[in-house]
Amino acid sequence: MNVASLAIESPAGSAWEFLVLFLVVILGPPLVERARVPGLIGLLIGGFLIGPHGLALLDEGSTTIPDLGELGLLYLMFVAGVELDLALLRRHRRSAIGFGLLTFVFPMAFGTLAGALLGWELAAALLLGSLLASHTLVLYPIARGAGIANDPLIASAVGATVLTDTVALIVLAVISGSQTGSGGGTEVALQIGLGLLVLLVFAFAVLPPLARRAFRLLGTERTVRYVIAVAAFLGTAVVAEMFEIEGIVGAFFAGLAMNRLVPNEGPLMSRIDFFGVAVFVPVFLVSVGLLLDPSVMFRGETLALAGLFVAACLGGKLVAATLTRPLFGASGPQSLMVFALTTPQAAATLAATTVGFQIGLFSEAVVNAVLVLILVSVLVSTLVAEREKSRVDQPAPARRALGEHALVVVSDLDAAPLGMRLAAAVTEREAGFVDVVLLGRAGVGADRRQAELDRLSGICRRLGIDADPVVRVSDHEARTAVLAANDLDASLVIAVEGSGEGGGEGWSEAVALALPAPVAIVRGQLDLPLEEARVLAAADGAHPAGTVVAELVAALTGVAASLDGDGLGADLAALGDGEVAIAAVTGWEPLAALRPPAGAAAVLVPDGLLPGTSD
Amino acid sequence: MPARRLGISLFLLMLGAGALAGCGGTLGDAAGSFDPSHPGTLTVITQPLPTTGFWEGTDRKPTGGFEYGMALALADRLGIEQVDVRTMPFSRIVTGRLVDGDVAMALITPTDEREEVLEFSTPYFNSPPALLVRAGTEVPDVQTAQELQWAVGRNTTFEDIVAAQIHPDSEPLRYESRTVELAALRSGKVDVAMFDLPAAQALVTADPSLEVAAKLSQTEPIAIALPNGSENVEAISSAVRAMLSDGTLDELAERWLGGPIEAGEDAVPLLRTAGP
Repeated sequence: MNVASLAIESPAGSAWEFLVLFLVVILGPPLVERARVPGLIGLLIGGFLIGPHGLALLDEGSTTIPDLGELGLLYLMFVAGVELDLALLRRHRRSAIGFGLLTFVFPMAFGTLAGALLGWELAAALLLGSLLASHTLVLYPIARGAGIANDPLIASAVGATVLTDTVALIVLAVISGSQTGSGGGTEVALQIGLGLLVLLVFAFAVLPPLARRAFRLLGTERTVRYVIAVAAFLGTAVVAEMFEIEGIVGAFFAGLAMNRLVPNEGPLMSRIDFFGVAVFVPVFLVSVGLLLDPSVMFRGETLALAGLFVAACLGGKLVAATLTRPLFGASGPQSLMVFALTTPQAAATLAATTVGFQIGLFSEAVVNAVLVLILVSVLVSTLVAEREKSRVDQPAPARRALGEHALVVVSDLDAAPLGMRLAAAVTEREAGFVDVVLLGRAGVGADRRQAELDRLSGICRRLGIDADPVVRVSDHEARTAVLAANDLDASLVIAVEGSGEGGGEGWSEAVALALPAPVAIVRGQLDLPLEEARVLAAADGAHPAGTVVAELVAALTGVAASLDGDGLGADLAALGDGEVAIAAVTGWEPLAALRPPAGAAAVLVPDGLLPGTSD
Repeated sequence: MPARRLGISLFLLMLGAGALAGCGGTLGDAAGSFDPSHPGTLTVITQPLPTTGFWEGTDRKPTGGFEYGMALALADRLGIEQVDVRTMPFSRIVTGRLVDGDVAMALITPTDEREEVLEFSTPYFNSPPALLVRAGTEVPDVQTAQELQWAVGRNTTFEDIVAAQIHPDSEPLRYESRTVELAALRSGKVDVAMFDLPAAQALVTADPSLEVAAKLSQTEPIAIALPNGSENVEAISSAVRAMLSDGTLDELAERWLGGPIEAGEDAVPLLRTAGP
């Protein structure tokens, strides 16, 4: 055989481009992280290396990576919205909004002024201002790791991100609409105004119930839940684009709207993060890297632009952070930590810059200057954060919301649906998540245990609860439940004890004694949606248990009435078919005897040893 | 790091950058600055007219076409009042001798060789090479294509594409002029000519005696060429991106090519070749 006649071609085509892309994703971040440079810079440099200004490894005219990058951009903005901690914004509303305005207004003003100094047209100058005014919480893990995430000012800075990024994206929508829209000024303004209105209504009024319903009806499989989330942001992006608003604005709003449905610590968020970190976001960053051109980046013009951007952005963020001292009573280290958190430019900045480039408002020099700004902002703020994190006083532990993380401990599968429905209702209110533990009795065969676990997983899927139940085997149910609650750091334990007939009677009382977190004991087998069951409650806010009951009741819609008040034992005995009683129990003596009749159920919250009540 | 020290550094940085910004606007426009070779005039080079669908009219008086419309829109976007159209053979355009032309628009594909003598803007469309034949000529497979007499434009990328992917039995005839090339096709001197698909489709619309027999699988970017070393590339590229995003190019395609550039692509059969 003549070796010379073999047809061996140089690599080309989609498979080759994907291979090159994933090699950059694999190798880029770890290589630059060795030099203590954030991984995203490695992806940008990798994009440059494979791109037309580097080794030109991609086919000329190929749109594979840029097209995938567009999807990555939408994904990035969706993740930016969905992972924001709205609970912090709610908790520190006033300071978050106040600081949000400061940290938006100053960089916006400085950026617009810089554009005006350069003689740019107004739209370009405003877009520059808005992209400098946004920020990405790249360094939040540093604050969390240092135990200062609950510091009121740092929490306010995190909450402020919702405001800065939302306003920045609205500015982007208006500017991009005015550049690409056809017709006169009034028509374009009407189009953008109407578009934003429709987008807001769709994202915040239509999407959440639609997604919730889709999760319940279709989301029995994990993969389907993930695909529903992807479809949700793509749908919102399409609605935005129908009104000539950039799709990234829709994707970000979808993230904010789905925030409660996708808890940050939940399994769905893990999946979203997984695919985001593994594929979509790196692909976007690599596609931006394709634009990186050293011959443009290291030109005097580009470096001067970058210097101006850095000064306007860091200067504006520093002024805002410094003002937290007189306005919010921040200490020096707090103020600098707030500066470090709100300075990094990444997701929203890159997104707005990319759009500005695509609509012809920004040149390659501006894009390259922004890439320098991203690098400098991340490096400077990392240095400041690393230095200041230990100087911020440790805040007092924050009171945890009941629905932050509910743990359902099940010993009776027939009673599990009520406990899980209660957990779902409570956690949804706080954008929390549910863990489910099945107490497996020692001595039961592995096959039977697996069958029980499968049944419990089936109940989760049927009820639309995004949880992966696990089984913990022991001969001491209470100890196992306590260990699980401590392991998982639950904010509420729902002990599903069942009817007592083979349900491991009494263990939940011991759990309530041993745990600092509130425990709600579920007794009785009732498999009805909570909206269809007749819920009767007895909440007495004077006791901690009464407060827990009040919070549980607040999470449910349609509580029918109060219990009669004839004494809890009598009240429970009087329950009819399909009725659920939720009540605080203020002494240990009667708890063992409190059991609902068949066809009814009770949720009992023991008092006496809850936090703050023991001597 | 005390806030004061950080603040002073930023202030100095801003002062320096601001001074640079103030030095006669050396940092240019956000979208890039454009400096025409003749003040107030955008000088556009193209190949001799007509290029059906892309340049209509005569060399002295262009009257329309997709690329002519683009040139007018480009001038408008750059704030230039006048457009001066000059023609020269395609083979000369791609050698980089644009004389004092600001831009060249003649369905030019950027290649490594051409990038040594020209600058290129962001592409304004991508299209596959197409096989233009007399109506009734079928080219179902590459074997049939090899038996035909081919025509290609001199110094076009089609010379290499035909040689590398078709391997015709007889040497293709190379034409300097599109008009002569088309006449050869109509007269039967050649059987098949290669053009960019949108150009081929525009020719078929104007002359029903011709038809598009097939397209190749690869696509080629089409971009505006600028003189080597021109500092106007960023401004032209930004303008192209703006025209792509605001629908200007779609409107021009609708008017001069009868619909979006990719519209008829799917209806054209694919000729499977050995490469690339």
